Amino acid sequence: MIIRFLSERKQQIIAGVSLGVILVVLHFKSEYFFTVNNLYNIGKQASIILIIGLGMTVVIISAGIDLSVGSLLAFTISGTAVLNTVHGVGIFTAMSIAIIATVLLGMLNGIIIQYGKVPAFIATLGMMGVARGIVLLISRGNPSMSFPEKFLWFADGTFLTVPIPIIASIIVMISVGLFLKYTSLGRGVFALGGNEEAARLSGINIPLVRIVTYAISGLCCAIAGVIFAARVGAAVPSAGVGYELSAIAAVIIGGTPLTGGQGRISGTVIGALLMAVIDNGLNMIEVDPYWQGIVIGVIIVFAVMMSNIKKQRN
Amino acid sequence: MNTLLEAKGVTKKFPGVLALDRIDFNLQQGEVHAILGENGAGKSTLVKIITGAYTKDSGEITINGKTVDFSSPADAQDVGIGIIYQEFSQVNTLSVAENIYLGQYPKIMGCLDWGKMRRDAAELLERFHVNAHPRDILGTLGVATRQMVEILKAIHKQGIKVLIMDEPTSALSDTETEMLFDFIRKIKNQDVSVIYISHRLDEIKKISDRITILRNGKKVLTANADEMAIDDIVSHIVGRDLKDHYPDKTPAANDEILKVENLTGRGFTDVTLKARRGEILGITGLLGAGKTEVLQAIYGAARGYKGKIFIKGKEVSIKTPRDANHHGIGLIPESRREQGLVLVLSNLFNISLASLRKLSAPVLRLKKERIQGTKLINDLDVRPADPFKQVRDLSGGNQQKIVLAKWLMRDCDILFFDEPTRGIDVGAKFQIYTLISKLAKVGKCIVFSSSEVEEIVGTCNRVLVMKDGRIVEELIGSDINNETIVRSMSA
Repeated sequence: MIIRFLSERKQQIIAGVSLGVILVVLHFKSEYFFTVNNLYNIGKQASIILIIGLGMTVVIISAGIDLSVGSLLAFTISGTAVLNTVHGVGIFTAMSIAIIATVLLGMLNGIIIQYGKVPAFIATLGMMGVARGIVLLISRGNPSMSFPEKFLWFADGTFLTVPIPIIASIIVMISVGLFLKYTSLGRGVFALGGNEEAARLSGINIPLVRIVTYAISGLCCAIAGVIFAARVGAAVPSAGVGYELSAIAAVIIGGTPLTGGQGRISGTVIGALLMAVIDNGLNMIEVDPYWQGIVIGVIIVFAVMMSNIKKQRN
Repeated sequence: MNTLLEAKGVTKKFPGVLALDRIDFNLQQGEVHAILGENGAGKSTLVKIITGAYTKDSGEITINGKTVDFSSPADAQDVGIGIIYQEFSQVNTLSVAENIYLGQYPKIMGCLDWGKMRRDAAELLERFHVNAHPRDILGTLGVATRQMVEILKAIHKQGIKVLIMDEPTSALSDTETEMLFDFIRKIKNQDVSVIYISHRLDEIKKISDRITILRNGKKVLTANADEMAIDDIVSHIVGRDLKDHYPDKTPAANDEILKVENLTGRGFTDVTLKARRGEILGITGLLGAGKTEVLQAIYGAARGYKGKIFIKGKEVSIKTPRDANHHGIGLIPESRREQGLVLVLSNLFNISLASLRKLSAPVLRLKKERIQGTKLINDLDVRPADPFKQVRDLSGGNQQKIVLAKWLMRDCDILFFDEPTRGIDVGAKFQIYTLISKLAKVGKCIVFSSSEVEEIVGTCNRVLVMKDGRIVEELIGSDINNETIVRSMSA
């Protein structure tokens, strides 16, 4: 029983152990690293990629991919800002509308992939361009729209001394985990990713599963967008550029294969934390920030190499 | 004519089975020699020994009088023995000329000599009257033409002298078959010999010079094709020794549960059938007769059919597999790995795949799932009996039991079995027959589609024979025998 538990989580364990080693090394390198404040900082830093990565995990388990996450995040931010500052809608109403609109765009991804028979890579690549274009259009003439003070609580507020972004990450993590384990739709995501034809012939409602999958990814982008907006305090049209790659990296480091049908939420959490720790730690020990990309790139390739060498031996 | 290839006393044993028992076989230069027999008679074992895929246990094979001993297919290719598979080894996005010369392009100073390649290819196509241009993209051509290109490649590239063709016409229309036969006659004239394997006896009569019939691993006879009537061939193929390994047949209840009227769609025409509780209804026919298409249409897996489907007397509309499941139909599909199972998931998750809604209230009851799944695994004797093992690690027979368990958990009344024993070993086959018979006894309605006549005869209460998309024969009780079925499906 225990052996199976461990062998099924081999890659998550490898990533977790690497994370632990890096933490220990950084602890000895910098006395400020292992302070509550800095750990909270890391958590806040990790939260945005983590939340997007959780949605991405669901998409990747379904054997899909979502390249539009960065643009969808920006869409939530600018949507909220434009509704609030230009149209005078109350900030929380504006936020809710923007979140719903973002989820609808996520669903649209799923609809296009399902009914338009467009590969996920291409459909979401298109959405990436379209959503970014909308962001630039609606924020034209309003280069820096700032958010009201009370909105910034989403980044700076705390609950029982724990920062809100960390609370939000934990809530999303648990929700996605429960969805995948305890709902028939969640099981459908695994079946769709593992073998779409067998899933269809077993009576799984493929269109529904696929659309829900991309809607979840959209919702995660919207939540991450709110946190991003509150942290920066203003709507920047270029928000989230390149986040799709970071989110995919977190998923892959966490041991979820791109081939679908398999994957773990815990892996993505470790992956996102690992990237944030490297980011933060290299800063702390005053390494040139350009090294960051190199280190993370090496880790991604190394993580996949480990799992594929293992597979070949089987 | 002189003897090109000769096999003397070739014997091959597999654990528990004598697959070939002292077979003598000879092939003349420039002849088409058909090997006939039921599935399991030893045809493919003999061919695999000739092509070096299997090694013989005893006996001798000579080519042009010289003894050869192949240890791999490459050895056989070296002396000019080639086989044309159903899935061609071709690159559909390249041109005909490139495919013929794939990997052995003519070169000029290290660069491809396109001119020579196209001229040579054109000459080759012309010589064998193949209706294609060297610049045609292969994927745009018909199956028959692609097959001919594949054969030209084999002849040109490897200097093939013995060509083995296994059911080459199964995917061809009548006109394409004629084209292929003309082509075969041309390569015959170039002194290439053909070993031809097919279940279609009318074709065999048309194209072969001689035939050899195998049964249960023994040679029955070799004779000139034009000296034998189709009826003689059939009775030699079938023999008289029917096996008694099949479970007892029990009479069906008189409770009609499935009725299909005038169903027409892609690959089948005007199909009408009825099935009762407790009945095992067989559907048989050659490859491409439309068996799978009919099942898939009733199951809602293929779109676009006309006709009526009644379940328990009520007309129903089935547009998706979900609808079929809702009306109590389950499908054990033809290709287990591609259509039946999610290989990366565990046995348990595969079993519960069709019952997720039943298990959610509103969240999935994982414990209930585990208890029910484990019970089915034990009932069906899946080995190893481990619900959490990935289903891809199981053997074919055990995988098939998992597919079946999926529909038993869902509690379907009507079960469609499409070629359920394909590619699984003999022991597991009989386990499947026993399971099917047990299910019928508890009142399930079984529709059992197979091109293996033997198992249809052994298990079914009633048999429908299909040919070219139509039901051509219905057999009940003692009328169900190999001879009648083979005759009506090849007629």
